[in-house]
Amino acid sequence: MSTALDEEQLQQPTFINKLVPRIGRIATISLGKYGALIVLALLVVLFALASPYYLTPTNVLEILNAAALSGIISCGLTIILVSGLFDLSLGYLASCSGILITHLMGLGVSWPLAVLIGIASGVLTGLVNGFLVTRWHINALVATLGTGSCLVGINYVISGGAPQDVSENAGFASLSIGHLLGIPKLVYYLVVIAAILWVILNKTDFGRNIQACGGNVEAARLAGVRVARTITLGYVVVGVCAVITGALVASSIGSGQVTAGDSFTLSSFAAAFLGSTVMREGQFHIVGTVVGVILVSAGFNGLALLGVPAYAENLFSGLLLICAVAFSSLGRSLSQA
Amino acid sequence: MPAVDDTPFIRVRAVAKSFGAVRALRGVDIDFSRGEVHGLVGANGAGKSTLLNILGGAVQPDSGSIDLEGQPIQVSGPRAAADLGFAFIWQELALVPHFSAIENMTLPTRARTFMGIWDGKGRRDAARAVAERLGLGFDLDRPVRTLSVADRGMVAMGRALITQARFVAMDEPTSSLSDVEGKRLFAVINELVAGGTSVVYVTHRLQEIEDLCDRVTVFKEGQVVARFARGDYTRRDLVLALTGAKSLADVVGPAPAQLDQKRVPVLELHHVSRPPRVQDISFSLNRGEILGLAGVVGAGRTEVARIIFGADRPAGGHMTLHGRPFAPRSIPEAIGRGVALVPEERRSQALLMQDSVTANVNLGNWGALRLFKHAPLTSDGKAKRRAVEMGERLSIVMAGAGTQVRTLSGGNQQKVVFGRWLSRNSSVLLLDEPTRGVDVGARRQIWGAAEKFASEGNSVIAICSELSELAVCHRVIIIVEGRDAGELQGPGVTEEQMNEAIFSIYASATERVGAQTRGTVG
Repeated sequence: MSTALDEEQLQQPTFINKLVPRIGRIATISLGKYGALIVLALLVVLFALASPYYLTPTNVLEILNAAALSGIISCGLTIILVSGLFDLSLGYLASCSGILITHLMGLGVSWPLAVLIGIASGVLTGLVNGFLVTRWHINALVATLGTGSCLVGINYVISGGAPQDVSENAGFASLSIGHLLGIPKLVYYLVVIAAILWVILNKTDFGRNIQACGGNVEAARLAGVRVARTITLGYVVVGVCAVITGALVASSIGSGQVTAGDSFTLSSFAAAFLGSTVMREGQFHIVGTVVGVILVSAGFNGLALLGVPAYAENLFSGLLLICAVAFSSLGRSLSQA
Repeated sequence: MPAVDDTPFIRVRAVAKSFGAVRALRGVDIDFSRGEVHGLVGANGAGKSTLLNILGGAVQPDSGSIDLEGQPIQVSGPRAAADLGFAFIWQELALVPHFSAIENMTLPTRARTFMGIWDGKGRRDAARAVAERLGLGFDLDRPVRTLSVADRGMVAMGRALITQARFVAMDEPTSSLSDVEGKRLFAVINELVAGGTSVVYVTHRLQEIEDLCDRVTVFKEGQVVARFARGDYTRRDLVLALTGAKSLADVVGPAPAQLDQKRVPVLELHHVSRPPRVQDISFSLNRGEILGLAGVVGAGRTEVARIIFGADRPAGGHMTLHGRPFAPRSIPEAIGRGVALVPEERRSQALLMQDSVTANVNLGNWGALRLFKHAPLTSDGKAKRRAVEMGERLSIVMAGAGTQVRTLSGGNQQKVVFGRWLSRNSSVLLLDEPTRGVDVGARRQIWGAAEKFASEGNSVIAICSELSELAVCHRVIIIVEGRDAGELQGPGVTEEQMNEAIFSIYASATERVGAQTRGTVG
């Protein structure tokens, strides 16, 4: 007669029977929504216990400073990810634009003009990517992989593979090096650009349309959204962010390096996907991406303080990404069941 | 009348299921017998789909039992359901778009040769045999995404036949079919039933219930409220059980609106063509008018709407709108001239399902919701007010403008799409199957919204395969094979009139292949 008992239990839920699923539900929802934030908090506590230096203002600023460059390009990438598409060319664009800017400066062009020309090249790259994806209907991964490869080629044509030294240009160096009111300049770039991109994504027609394209591109088209134009503009935004990052990298190391920005392709995707698990369930958004970048940076910093060798950083960021996204989708499927 | 033995094929007892606070099923008892068509009716959200999802293994019940031929079973997942011989043909068809019809039909089978190699020939033969039974006229090697919605439904049907399902559940299979195709489907269903299959048929169309079903179960708010056997109920009983109303007077819709006598043409089409679907279409749409386009699926009605909406360009002919030439080169251009489209597939073509009512009402129109005239910043306040205003005007049932659209009922979702165009002051509204998949009550509200829109000095073109609903139209244009083949004057055009017109024209058109058949019927 155990079945009768079971049925009775099911039909008359006791306090515990009600409470347990409720706690479970809240826990799974929080896991999905706040997984990355919880991991960040745990990391901070862990490293703070391990090293008294970890939570000092100097070190926190250092964490943010280290996150800034990757943060700018990742926020740019977030825009196109929100539209449901990809851009694999952005890291190569950062490298190529750094080379372009420093090469122009080597030819005697003033640094502000060189940076402007660099940004124009970012706009152009965005237009090309957008054109390939929206007009020629090339799969976004393939199209941007193609343009990225072309950019590597252009990079070598300009530089011949050699670094372009600009370390003597104090004006260009002051673009990124130094502090303002005690805070590293790069942190301001991150804050300002992330804020602008947040407004663009959430408070402008263009941002709404980008989000609509990501939600249901056919519905957007039939509601009168100019999809091709919107997507192309999205690629332009990514391009500009990539160039800004490339310029700041060149400025901070004092030279254009042929592969200086290449690693941003992977790290920005990782940050954006990590960020998609922050507060929203699997959607890309600017705040999440910023948190994702800071999370990686906080982890790297802590590991370095503990004397863990640098090669462990990649292992850490890879595992972090996998765990955060896995938690998020696990939490999501549990809370829906 | 098929014999009903004592142990039903499937016996469902006291099955309950809640989703959060929503009690989708509150202890339902139901039996499904072999060799019988069992109709399930009820408003959206009444629990029919939840029950089928439980039988399909997609959802696990909170309590209750399911017996198969007297043995208790648990349907742990879709695979288990397939192993039990259950097949499901859904509204949103579960087909792989780029697979061919053959591959889709044979997908769940284990037709493999030795070492697990895909048995191409065996699958082809099996699919061919089934296609013959179903009378499928299309190339089975075509990817299903290139097939019409109706043909895709037939592919899903073919899959059920190939797996020799003992229990086949269909959720609104005819909602995208023309009458001819529907008849073909009914023939197949009858054949299945004669072979001992148990068929469950979910529909909003009461005529089909009466024609097809041996038994009917009426759902309301997660419970069974009435059961009927063939022959011992009337349409009136069914409608009263469905709506919970006391008398029919509460249920019958309003009489079609009278159109004021002087006709002011708003949109005119002159010999518009875009082969192969649109051959030669001419008509004019008047101010304040609801104009129906009737015809079988594939007759070219949707394609005409796409041309008017600027999604496709006509190959020949020309149009005028408000007396001025109208040749939209893009959708935004047509929208800018006041044309609006409520597309055929609500979920995939009209709505951002994960987004709020506000985001959906204002989709594509954020440029008009600026905080300042010359800055591209949008105003959330204005956006929300529009959504709330449309919610009130169209009486959308929602918790607030921030409600996710996917949580709304089908009828309310459709009203959100209406609201999008109302808020943009569109003057010509194209409705493509506006009532597909919504319940009886919501249908009336949708047509009511269309009538209101027209009565405010606008015009509506309605495409609807449910011919009886076109009775709300002031005029109905019959479209056969891409040509306007006749016109029925309303208001109050009946389904019989339209069917007769379509079939007589269709018959004469197919007799004289290629001949131009133009004439006025009715």
